[in-house]
Amino acid sequence: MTTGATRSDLEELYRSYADELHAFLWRRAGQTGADLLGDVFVVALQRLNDLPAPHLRRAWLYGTARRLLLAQGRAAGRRTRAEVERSRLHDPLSGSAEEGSARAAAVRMALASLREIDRELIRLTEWEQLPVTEAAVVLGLRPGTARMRLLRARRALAGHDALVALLPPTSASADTLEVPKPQCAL
Amino acid sequence: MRSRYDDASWRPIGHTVHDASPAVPDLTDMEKDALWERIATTPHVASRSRRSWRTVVAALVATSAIGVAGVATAAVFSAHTGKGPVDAEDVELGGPGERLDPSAPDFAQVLDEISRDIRFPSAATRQKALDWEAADFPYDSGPVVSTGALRLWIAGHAVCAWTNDWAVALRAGDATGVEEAASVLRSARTWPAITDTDPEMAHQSEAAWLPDLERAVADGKPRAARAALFGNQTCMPGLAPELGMGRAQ
Repeated sequence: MTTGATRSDLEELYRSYADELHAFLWRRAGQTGADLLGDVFVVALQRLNDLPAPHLRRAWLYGTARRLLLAQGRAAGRRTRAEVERSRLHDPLSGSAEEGSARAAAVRMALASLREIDRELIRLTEWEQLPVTEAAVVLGLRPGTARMRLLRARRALAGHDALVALLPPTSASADTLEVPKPQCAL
Repeated sequence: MRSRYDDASWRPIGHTVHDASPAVPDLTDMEKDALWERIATTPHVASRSRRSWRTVVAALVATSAIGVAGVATAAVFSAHTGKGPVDAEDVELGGPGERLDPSAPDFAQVLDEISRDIRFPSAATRQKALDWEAADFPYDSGPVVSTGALRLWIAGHAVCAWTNDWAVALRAGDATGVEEAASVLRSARTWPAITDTDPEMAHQSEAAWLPDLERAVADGKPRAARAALFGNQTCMPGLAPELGMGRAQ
Protein backbone atom coordinates (compact mmCIF):
# COMPACT_ATOMS: atom_id res chain seq x y z
CA MET A 1 0.00 0.00 0.00
CA THR A 2 1.39 3.41 -0.90
CA THR A 3 0.29 6.54 0.86
CA GLY A 4 2.68 9.15 -0.47
CA ALA A 5 4.81 11.44 1.63
CA THR A 6 5.96 15.05 1.74
CA ARG A 7 9.45 16.50 1.75
CA SER A 8 8.88 17.28 5.40
CA ASP A 9 8.09 13.62 6.04
CA LEU A 10 11.28 12.67 4.25
CA GLU A 11 13.40 14.99 6.35
CA GLU A 12 11.87 13.46 9.44
CA LEU A 13 12.76 10.02 8.10
CA TYR A 14 16.28 11.22 7.45
CA ARG A 15 16.70 12.62 10.95
CA SER A 16 15.32 9.42 12.44
CA TYR A 17 17.11 6.80 10.39
CA ALA A 18 20.22 8.30 8.77
CA ASP A 19 22.49 6.99 11.51
CA GLU A 20 21.29 3.41 11.39
CA LEU A 21 21.19 3.34 7.60
CA HIS A 22 24.71 4.70 7.53
CA ALA A 23 25.73 1.90 9.88
CA PHE A 24 23.94 -0.67 7.71
CA LEU A 25 25.70 0.55 4.57
CA TRP A 26 29.06 0.71 6.30
CA ARG A 27 28.76 -2.79 7.73
CA ARG A 28 27.99 -4.20 4.28
CA ALA A 29 30.57 -2.37 2.18
CA GLY A 30 32.67 -0.02 4.27
CA GLN A 31 33.13 3.58 3.18
CA THR A 32 32.06 2.80 -0.39
CA GLY A 33 28.75 1.56 0.92
CA ALA A 34 28.34 4.43 3.37
CA ASP A 35 28.71 6.85 0.48
CA LEU A 36 25.36 5.60 -0.78
CA LEU A 37 23.45 7.10 2.15
CA GLY A 38 22.61 10.26 0.24
CA ASP A 39 21.49 8.22 -2.77
CA VAL A 40 19.03 6.31 -0.61
CA PHE A 41 17.25 9.52 0.33
CA VAL A 42 17.49 10.99 -3.16
CA VAL A 43 15.66 7.88 -4.41
CA ALA A 44 13.08 8.42 -1.68
CA LEU A 45 12.78 12.05 -2.68
CA GLN A 46 12.14 11.11 -6.29
CA ARG A 47 9.56 8.56 -5.23
CA LEU A 48 7.65 10.45 -2.57
CA ASN A 49 4.37 9.34 -4.14
CA ASP A 50 5.37 5.71 -3.90
CA LEU A 51 6.51 5.58 -0.29
CA PRO A 52 4.59 2.98 1.70
CA ALA A 53 2.59 3.56 4.87
CA PRO A 54 4.60 5.18 7.66
CA HIS A 55 5.16 1.96 9.59
CA LEU A 56 6.84 0.41 6.54
CA ARG A 57 9.05 3.33 5.57
CA ARG A 58 12.12 2.37 7.56
CA ALA A 59 12.11 -1.07 5.96
CA TRP A 60 11.56 0.54 2.56
CA LEU A 61 14.66 2.67 3.10
CA TYR A 62 16.69 -0.38 4.08
CA GLY A 63 15.42 -2.19 0.99
CA THR A 64 16.42 0.75 -1.18
CA ALA A 65 19.84 0.85 0.46
CA ARG A 66 20.31 -2.85 -0.16
CA ARG A 67 19.34 -2.54 -3.82
CA LEU A 68 21.78 0.32 -4.23
CA LEU A 69 24.52 -1.80 -2.68
CA LEU A 70 23.75 -4.62 -5.09
CA ALA A 71 23.66 -2.20 -8.01
CA GLN A 72 26.95 -0.72 -6.90
CA GLY A 73 28.50 -4.18 -6.89
CA ARG A 74 27.18 -4.91 -10.37
CA ALA A 75 28.17 -1.52 -11.72
CA ALA A 76 31.69 -2.02 -10.49
CA GLY A 77 31.84 -4.70 -13.12
CA ARG A 78 34.79 -6.37 -11.51
CA ARG A 79 33.25 -8.57 -8.92
CA THR A 80 30.03 -10.48 -8.68
CA ARG A 81 27.73 -9.89 -5.77
CA ALA A 82 28.86 -13.14 -4.23
CA GLU A 83 32.44 -12.07 -4.51
CA VAL A 84 31.63 -8.74 -2.90
CA GLU A 85 29.99 -10.63 -0.07
CA ARG A 86 32.90 -13.00 0.29
CA SER A 87 35.45 -10.24 0.28
CA ARG A 88 33.47 -8.40 2.91
CA LEU A 89 33.20 -11.50 5.04
CA HIS A 90 36.77 -12.66 4.68
CA ASP A 91 38.92 -9.63 4.06
CA PRO A 92 40.86 -9.12 7.29
CA LEU A 93 41.53 -5.52 6.35
CA SER A 94 37.90 -4.62 5.88
CA GLY A 95 37.04 -4.33 9.54
CA SER A 96 38.40 -3.11 12.81
CA ALA A 97 40.75 -4.88 15.17
CA GLU A 98 37.69 -5.98 17.05
CA GLU A 99 36.50 -7.79 13.96
CA GLY A 100 39.72 -9.65 13.82
CA SER A 101 39.09 -11.38 17.10
CA ALA A 102 38.61 -15.09 17.15
CA ARG A 103 34.93 -14.73 17.99
CA ALA A 104 34.28 -12.37 15.13
CA ALA A 105 36.21 -14.63 12.79
CA ALA A 106 34.13 -17.59 13.88
CA VAL A 107 30.92 -15.64 13.31
CA ARG A 108 32.10 -14.54 9.87
CA MET A 109 32.94 -18.11 8.98
CA ALA A 110 29.54 -19.34 10.15
CA LEU A 111 27.71 -16.55 8.34
CA ALA A 112 29.66 -17.29 5.17
CA SER A 113 28.23 -20.80 5.19
CA LEU A 114 24.70 -19.44 4.71
CA ARG A 115 23.07 -18.49 1.46
CA GLU A 116 23.20 -14.78 0.83
CA ILE A 117 19.56 -14.11 1.57
CA ASP A 118 19.67 -16.12 4.81
CA ARG A 119 22.88 -14.41 5.86
CA GLU A 120 21.21 -11.07 5.27
CA LEU A 121 18.22 -12.12 7.35
CA ILE A 122 20.53 -12.92 10.24
CA ARG A 123 22.43 -9.67 9.86
CA LEU A 124 19.29 -7.56 9.58
CA THR A 125 17.81 -9.07 12.71
CA GLU A 126 20.99 -9.25 14.78
CA TRP A 127 23.23 -6.46 13.53
CA GLU A 128 20.55 -3.95 12.57
CA GLN A 129 18.08 -5.23 15.17
CA LEU A 130 15.17 -5.14 12.73
CA PRO A 131 12.14 -7.23 13.60
CA VAL A 132 11.68 -10.11 11.19
CA THR A 133 8.61 -8.48 9.64
CA GLU A 134 10.70 -5.48 8.59
CA ALA A 135 13.58 -7.69 7.47
CA ALA A 136 11.07 -9.48 5.25
CA VAL A 137 10.11 -6.20 3.62
CA VAL A 138 13.76 -5.32 3.07
CA LEU A 139 14.38 -8.61 1.29
CA GLY A 140 11.07 -8.75 -0.57
CA LEU A 141 9.96 -11.87 1.27
CA ARG A 142 6.64 -12.70 2.79
CA PRO A 143 6.79 -12.51 6.58
CA GLY A 144 6.05 -16.21 6.86
CA THR A 145 8.82 -17.08 4.45
CA ALA A 146 11.23 -14.80 6.25
CA ARG A 147 10.39 -16.41 9.58
CA MET A 148 10.91 -19.87 8.13
CA ARG A 149 14.20 -18.93 6.52
CA LEU A 150 15.36 -17.16 9.67
CA LEU A 151 14.52 -20.20 11.75
CA ARG A 152 16.45 -22.42 9.37
CA ALA A 153 19.37 -20.03 9.26
CA ARG A 154 19.50 -19.91 13.04
CA ARG A 155 19.50 -23.68 13.20
CA ALA A 156 22.31 -23.78 10.69
CA LEU A 157 24.36 -21.32 12.72
CA ALA A 158 23.61 -23.17 15.94
CA GLY A 159 25.08 -26.29 14.41
CA HIS A 160 28.06 -24.67 12.75
CA ASP A 161 31.32 -26.01 14.09
CA ALA A 162 32.89 -22.58 14.46
CA LEU A 163 30.07 -21.34 16.70
CA VAL A 164 29.59 -24.60 18.53
CA ALA A 165 33.22 -24.36 19.58
CA LEU A 166 32.61 -20.89 21.00
CA LEU A 167 29.51 -21.58 23.02
CA PRO A 168 28.57 -23.78 25.94
CA PRO A 169 27.27 -27.22 24.86
CA THR A 170 23.72 -26.45 25.97
CA SER A 171 23.34 -23.66 23.44
CA ALA A 172 24.41 -25.70 20.47
CA SER A 173 22.95 -29.10 21.17
CA ALA A 174 20.28 -29.05 18.50
CA ASP A 175 22.19 -31.47 16.34
CA THR A 176 22.39 -34.47 18.58
CA LEU A 177 20.91 -37.66 17.23
CA GLU A 178 20.69 -39.32 20.59
CA VAL A 179 18.64 -36.58 22.25
CA PRO A 180 16.56 -35.01 19.52
CA LYS A 181 14.96 -31.70 20.39
CA PRO A 182 11.45 -30.95 19.23
CA GLN A 183 11.46 -28.66 16.22
CA CYS A 184 9.79 -25.29 16.45
CA ALA A 185 6.57 -24.93 14.54
CA LEU A 186 5.90 -21.61 12.89
CA MET B 1 13.48 -4.59 18.97
CA ARG B 2 14.40 -8.22 18.63
CA SER B 3 12.37 -10.73 16.69
CA ARG B 4 9.91 -13.01 18.47
CA TYR B 5 12.08 -15.96 17.47
CA ASP B 6 14.42 -15.25 20.33
CA ASP B 7 14.40 -18.46 22.27
CA ALA B 8 16.67 -19.69 24.97
CA SER B 9 18.83 -21.73 22.64
CA TRP B 10 19.29 -18.95 20.12
CA ARG B 11 19.93 -16.08 22.50
CA PRO B 12 23.62 -16.73 23.28
CA ILE B 13 24.33 -17.35 19.60
CA GLY B 14 22.43 -14.22 18.64
CA HIS B 15 24.43 -12.19 21.11
CA THR B 16 27.66 -13.61 19.69
CA VAL B 17 26.59 -12.73 16.16
CA HIS B 18 25.49 -9.28 17.25
CA ASP B 19 28.75 -8.61 19.08
CA ALA B 20 30.71 -9.56 15.96
CA SER B 21 29.15 -6.84 13.83
CA PRO B 22 31.76 -4.55 12.28
CA ALA B 23 32.46 -1.33 14.13
CA VAL B 24 31.01 1.73 12.41
CA PRO B 25 32.43 5.26 12.56
CA ASP B 26 30.00 7.89 13.77
CA LEU B 27 28.20 10.10 11.34
CA THR B 28 28.63 13.55 12.86
CA ASP B 29 25.80 16.07 13.04
CA MET B 30 27.75 18.33 10.73
CA GLU B 31 28.15 15.59 8.14
CA LYS B 32 24.51 14.70 8.48
CA ASP B 33 23.34 18.28 8.00
CA ALA B 34 25.59 18.75 4.98
CA LEU B 35 24.35 15.56 3.39
CA TRP B 36 20.73 16.56 3.94
CA GLU B 37 21.41 19.86 2.24
CA ARG B 38 22.65 18.02 -0.81
CA ILE B 39 19.67 15.68 -0.78
CA ALA B 40 17.14 18.46 -0.30
CA THR B 41 18.54 20.52 -3.15
CA THR B 42 18.24 17.63 -5.59
CA PRO B 43 15.54 18.55 -8.10
CA HIS B 44 12.38 16.61 -7.34
CA VAL B 45 10.96 14.80 -10.33
CA ALA B 46 7.62 13.52 -9.14
CA SER B 47 7.06 9.96 -10.15
CA ARG B 48 3.79 8.59 -11.38
CA SER B 49 2.00 6.86 -8.58
CA ARG B 50 1.97 3.17 -9.35
CA ARG B 51 -1.02 0.98 -9.10
CA SER B 52 -0.89 -1.32 -6.17
CA TRP B 53 0.51 -4.77 -6.75
CA ARG B 54 -2.83 -6.30 -5.86
CA THR B 55 -4.61 -4.16 -8.44
CA VAL B 56 -2.18 -5.28 -11.11
CA VAL B 57 -2.74 -8.91 -10.22
CA ALA B 58 -6.50 -8.47 -10.25
CA ALA B 59 -6.27 -6.83 -13.65
CA LEU B 60 -4.16 -9.68 -14.95
CA VAL B 61 -6.64 -12.22 -13.74
CA ALA B 62 -9.57 -10.34 -15.21
CA THR B 63 -7.79 -10.07 -18.55
CA SER B 64 -7.11 -13.78 -18.51
CA ALA B 65 -10.74 -14.50 -17.76
CA ILE B 66 -11.85 -12.41 -20.69
CA GLY B 67 -9.37 -14.06 -23.00
CA VAL B 68 -10.25 -17.60 -22.10
CA ALA B 69 -13.93 -17.50 -21.37
CA GLY B 70 -15.03 -14.24 -22.86
CA VAL B 71 -16.43 -13.18 -19.52
CA ALA B 72 -14.90 -10.55 -17.28
CA THR B 73 -15.20 -11.62 -13.68
CA ALA B 74 -13.94 -8.87 -11.43
CA ALA B 75 -14.20 -11.04 -8.34
CA VAL B 76 -11.90 -13.74 -9.72
CA PHE B 77 -8.66 -13.83 -7.76
CA SER B 78 -6.22 -16.65 -8.31
CA ALA B 79 -2.77 -17.56 -7.05
CA HIS B 80 -1.70 -17.64 -10.69
CA THR B 81 -0.28 -14.25 -11.61
CA GLY B 82 1.00 -15.14 -15.06
CA LYS B 83 4.25 -13.40 -14.16
CA GLY B 84 7.73 -14.85 -14.14
CA PRO B 85 11.11 -13.60 -12.95
CA VAL B 86 12.13 -10.28 -14.45
CA ASP B 87 15.88 -10.85 -14.55
CA ALA B 88 18.69 -13.14 -13.48
CA GLU B 89 18.81 -11.65 -10.00
CA ASP B 90 15.12 -12.30 -9.61
CA VAL B 91 15.71 -15.94 -10.54
CA GLU B 92 18.62 -16.13 -8.09
CA LEU B 93 16.69 -14.68 -5.18
CA GLY B 94 13.22 -15.95 -5.96
CA GLY B 95 13.65 -19.09 -8.03
CA PRO B 96 12.39 -19.95 -11.50
CA GLY B 97 8.83 -20.25 -12.70
CA GLU B 98 5.61 -18.36 -12.38
CA ARG B 99 5.19 -16.11 -9.39
CA LEU B 100 2.24 -17.27 -7.32
CA ASP B 101 0.23 -15.19 -4.92
CA PRO B 102 -0.03 -17.15 -1.66
CA SER B 103 -2.80 -14.93 -0.35
CA ALA B 104 -5.22 -16.05 -3.07
CA PRO B 105 -7.98 -18.39 -1.92
CA ASP B 106 -6.91 -21.10 -4.36
CA PHE B 107 -3.26 -21.13 -3.26
CA ALA B 108 -3.50 -24.53 -1.53
CA GLN B 109 -5.15 -25.98 -4.62
CA VAL B 110 -2.48 -24.53 -6.89
CA LEU B 111 0.19 -25.86 -4.52
CA ASP B 112 -1.36 -29.30 -4.93
CA GLU B 113 -1.43 -28.96 -8.73
CA ILE B 114 2.16 -27.83 -9.17
CA SER B 115 3.58 -30.60 -6.99
CA ARG B 116 1.77 -33.67 -8.32
CA ASP B 117 4.88 -35.10 -9.96
CA ILE B 118 6.77 -35.10 -6.65
CA ARG B 119 6.65 -38.57 -5.16
CA PHE B 120 5.99 -38.98 -1.45
CA PRO B 121 5.98 -42.26 0.43
CA SER B 122 2.37 -41.71 1.49
CA ALA B 123 -0.58 -39.41 0.93
CA ALA B 124 -0.34 -38.41 4.57
CA THR B 125 3.26 -37.18 4.34
CA ARG B 126 2.48 -35.32 1.12
CA GLN B 127 -0.51 -33.60 2.69
CA LYS B 128 1.55 -32.70 5.73
CA ALA B 129 4.16 -31.07 3.50
CA LEU B 130 1.57 -29.16 1.46
CA ASP B 131 -0.19 -27.98 4.61
CA TRP B 132 3.14 -26.78 5.96
CA GLU B 133 3.93 -24.76 2.88
CA ALA B 134 0.42 -23.35 2.59
CA ALA B 135 0.43 -22.34 6.24
CA ASP B 136 3.74 -20.56 5.81
CA PHE B 137 1.99 -17.74 3.99
CA PRO B 138 -0.68 -16.54 6.37
CA TYR B 139 -0.60 -12.91 5.38
CA ASP B 140 -2.91 -11.06 3.11
CA SER B 141 -0.44 -8.96 1.21
CA GLY B 142 3.17 -8.97 0.16
CA PRO B 143 5.54 -10.48 -2.37
CA VAL B 144 4.74 -13.46 -4.50
CA VAL B 145 6.55 -16.79 -4.44
CA SER B 146 7.89 -18.75 -7.39
CA THR B 147 6.68 -22.18 -8.41
CA GLY B 148 10.35 -23.18 -8.63
CA ALA B 149 10.98 -22.37 -4.98
CA LEU B 150 7.80 -24.05 -3.82
CA ARG B 151 8.47 -27.19 -5.84
CA LEU B 152 12.03 -27.36 -4.55
CA TRP B 153 10.91 -27.01 -0.94
CA ILE B 154 8.21 -29.65 -1.40
CA ALA B 155 10.71 -31.97 -3.09
CA GLY B 156 12.95 -31.49 -0.05
CA HIS B 157 10.08 -32.56 2.20
CA ALA B 158 9.52 -35.62 0.00
CA VAL B 159 13.18 -36.60 0.18
CA CYS B 160 13.02 -36.10 3.91
CA ALA B 161 9.99 -38.38 4.24
CA TRP B 162 11.61 -41.07 2.07
CA THR B 163 14.80 -40.87 4.13
CA ASN B 164 12.75 -41.38 7.25
CA ASP B 165 11.12 -44.48 5.74
CA TRP B 166 14.53 -45.74 4.68
CA ALA B 167 15.88 -45.31 8.20
CA VAL B 168 12.86 -47.06 9.71
CA ALA B 169 13.26 -49.99 7.31
CA LEU B 170 16.98 -50.13 7.99
CA ARG B 171 16.43 -50.33 11.72
CA ALA B 172 13.74 -53.00 11.26
CA GLY B 173 15.90 -55.09 8.95
CA ASP B 174 13.34 -54.70 6.16
CA ALA B 175 15.54 -55.15 3.09
CA THR B 176 12.67 -54.59 0.65
CA GLY B 177 11.69 -51.36 2.36
CA VAL B 178 15.27 -50.20 2.44
CA GLU B 179 15.73 -50.80 -1.27
CA GLU B 180 12.42 -49.19 -2.22
CA ALA B 181 13.21 -45.99 -0.33
CA ALA B 182 16.83 -45.97 -1.45
CA SER B 183 15.76 -46.34 -5.06
CA VAL B 184 13.51 -43.31 -4.80
CA LEU B 185 16.24 -41.32 -3.08
CA ARG B 186 18.73 -42.22 -5.81
CA SER B 187 16.28 -40.94 -8.39
CA ALA B 188 15.73 -37.62 -6.63
CA ARG B 189 18.60 -35.96 -8.50
CA THR B 190 16.57 -36.35 -11.70
CA TRP B 191 13.35 -34.86 -10.36
CA PRO B 192 12.41 -31.74 -12.32
CA ALA B 193 11.34 -30.14 -9.05
CA ILE B 194 15.00 -30.20 -8.05
CA THR B 195 16.85 -29.88 -11.35
CA ASP B 196 14.75 -26.93 -12.54
CA THR B 197 16.17 -24.84 -9.71
CA ASP B 198 19.44 -26.59 -9.02
CA PRO B 199 20.91 -28.62 -11.88
CA GLU B 200 24.40 -28.65 -10.33
CA MET B 201 23.76 -29.67 -6.71
CA ALA B 202 27.13 -28.35 -5.66
CA HIS B 203 28.79 -25.63 -3.64
CA GLN B 204 26.12 -23.67 -1.77
CA SER B 205 23.29 -24.31 -4.16
CA GLU B 206 19.82 -25.18 -2.96
CA ALA B 207 20.16 -28.97 -3.25
CA ALA B 208 23.87 -29.27 -2.56
CA TRP B 209 22.96 -31.57 0.30
CA LEU B 210 21.58 -34.28 -2.01
CA PRO B 211 24.92 -35.90 -2.97
CA ASP B 212 25.78 -36.16 0.73
CA LEU B 213 22.45 -37.83 1.37
CA GLU B 214 23.00 -40.24 -1.52
CA ARG B 215 26.34 -41.27 -0.08
CA ALA B 216 24.84 -41.77 3.36
CA VAL B 217 22.08 -43.97 1.94
CA ALA B 218 24.52 -45.97 -0.15
CA ASP B 219 26.67 -46.52 2.92
CA GLY B 220 23.69 -47.35 5.13
CA LYS B 221 24.45 -44.57 7.59
CA PRO B 222 21.36 -42.88 9.02
CA ARG B 223 23.44 -40.51 11.12
CA ALA B 224 25.15 -39.18 8.01
CA ALA B 225 21.77 -38.96 6.27
CA ARG B 226 20.47 -36.89 9.10
CA ALA B 227 23.50 -34.65 8.96
CA ALA B 228 22.92 -34.03 5.25
CA LEU B 229 19.31 -33.07 5.84
CA PHE B 230 19.70 -31.27 9.13
CA GLY B 231 22.64 -29.18 8.05
CA ASN B 232 20.58 -27.74 5.26
CA GLN B 233 17.26 -27.42 7.07
CA THR B 234 15.58 -29.55 4.45
CA CYS B 235 13.09 -31.26 6.72
CA MET B 236 9.96 -29.61 8.00
CA PRO B 237 9.04 -30.58 11.55
CA GLY B 238 7.55 -34.02 11.88
CA LEU B 239 8.59 -35.65 8.61
CA ALA B 240 11.66 -37.42 9.91
CA PRO B 241 11.07 -38.46 13.54
CA GLU B 242 13.17 -41.57 12.98
CA LEU B 243 16.13 -39.30 12.36
CA GLY B 244 15.41 -37.17 15.38
CA MET B 245 14.21 -34.22 13.34
CA GLY B 246 10.95 -33.20 14.84
CA ARG B 247 8.14 -35.18 16.33
CA ALA B 248 5.07 -35.94 14.28
CA GLN B 249 2.80 -32.92 14.52
